[in-house]
Amino acid sequence: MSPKALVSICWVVSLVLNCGLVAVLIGKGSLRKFPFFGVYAVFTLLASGVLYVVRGFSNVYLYTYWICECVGVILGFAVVYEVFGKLLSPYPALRRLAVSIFQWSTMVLILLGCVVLYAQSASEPNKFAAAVMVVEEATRIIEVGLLMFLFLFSTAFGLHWRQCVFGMALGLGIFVTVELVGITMRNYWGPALNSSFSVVRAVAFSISLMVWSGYLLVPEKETSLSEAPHHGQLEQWNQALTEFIYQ
Amino acid sequence: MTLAIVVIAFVLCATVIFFVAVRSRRRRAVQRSVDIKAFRALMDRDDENFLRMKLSRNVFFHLKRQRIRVAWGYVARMSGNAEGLLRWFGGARSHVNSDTQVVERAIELASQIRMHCLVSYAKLAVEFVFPSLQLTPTLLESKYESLRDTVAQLTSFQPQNEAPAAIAI
Repeated sequence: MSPKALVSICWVVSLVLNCGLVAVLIGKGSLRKFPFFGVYAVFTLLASGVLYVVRGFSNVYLYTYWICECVGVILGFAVVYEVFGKLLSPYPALRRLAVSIFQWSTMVLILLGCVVLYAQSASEPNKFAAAVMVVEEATRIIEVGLLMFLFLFSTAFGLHWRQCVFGMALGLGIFVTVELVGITMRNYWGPALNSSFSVVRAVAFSISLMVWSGYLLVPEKETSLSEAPHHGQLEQWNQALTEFIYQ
Repeated sequence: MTLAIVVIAFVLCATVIFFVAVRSRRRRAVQRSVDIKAFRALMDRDDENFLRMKLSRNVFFHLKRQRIRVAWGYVARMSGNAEGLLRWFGGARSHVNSDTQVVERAIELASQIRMHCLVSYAKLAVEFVFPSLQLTPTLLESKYESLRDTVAQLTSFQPQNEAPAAIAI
């Protein structure tokens, strides 16, 4: 199978999955609950559709692709912000601390992005594409970093993730991480990697779409502390520990 | 090329963090009891100073490291219990049928304990490496007791089977 055919197949699969995600979002009434994510899902569907239609016209395709990438990155940040808000909504006491750490992390990541902007030179013949790729690499670093911060913070404090919010963060994390690796590699090896990058990107995006749809569809487990040990069990542990301390 | 290596290392870190997050989400919170009196005794500096004076340097260091191991276990329990409560409140907040202020106070305390536990881990680790140092925080047990009282107050509003956490902590 030729690389072009493989790219086309991956593209169609991701389009179908994207349609499925939008249908799930509309069907479950999640567009109102997660407006940024809803816009992101609808935008990616429209962008993929338009790009599929104009794929034969190289110049139109190139500019459409990079404009869509820019909008996609901005919407990605909006989704991260939405996840942050939803994750911390049950914990007002933690919000101040989280916001200040989030701001500091963003500043550090922007600094890292600036270093990349300064040090990176894209091996892309088209100057517009080269500039967008370097900026995209820098912004993807910030995006991955913010998602890392969210997961680290929630793990450190043991915060409760709602099923769909976790799915949103994880799906976005998978996609932007693969995108970051791809764009870094392409900045070094140039357009020779275009076909492989397109396939990997489409596969990663399809996986993210499945993660998003899956986490939206699977019903959330009821929260219970039924796993709490019996009182007698606790007494035994206590006794054992006390003996250990005073032995 | 250096930049590419840095980016790849960054991506690897991200992958590990995502994986840990998925795993920790699957992990079920188990509430385990903490003997506050024993923990206090373990953290008592007078006790430690007495041991330092009476024992030889090597024996004291050995004993102190043992005490730190046990203290680490206590901190881990407190941290785990606080995490369990935070998860429980985060998930069940909408149907917790009791005073909102008490719930918020419990969440605040649990998050404070969680933060103190992170600091305690770091300090205990430093003391384990350098047993002559005395860095262990003394605030933790009072915060934990306060949380226990708040949760006990909270469970008095609840049917018995809805919030068994107070029994455990």
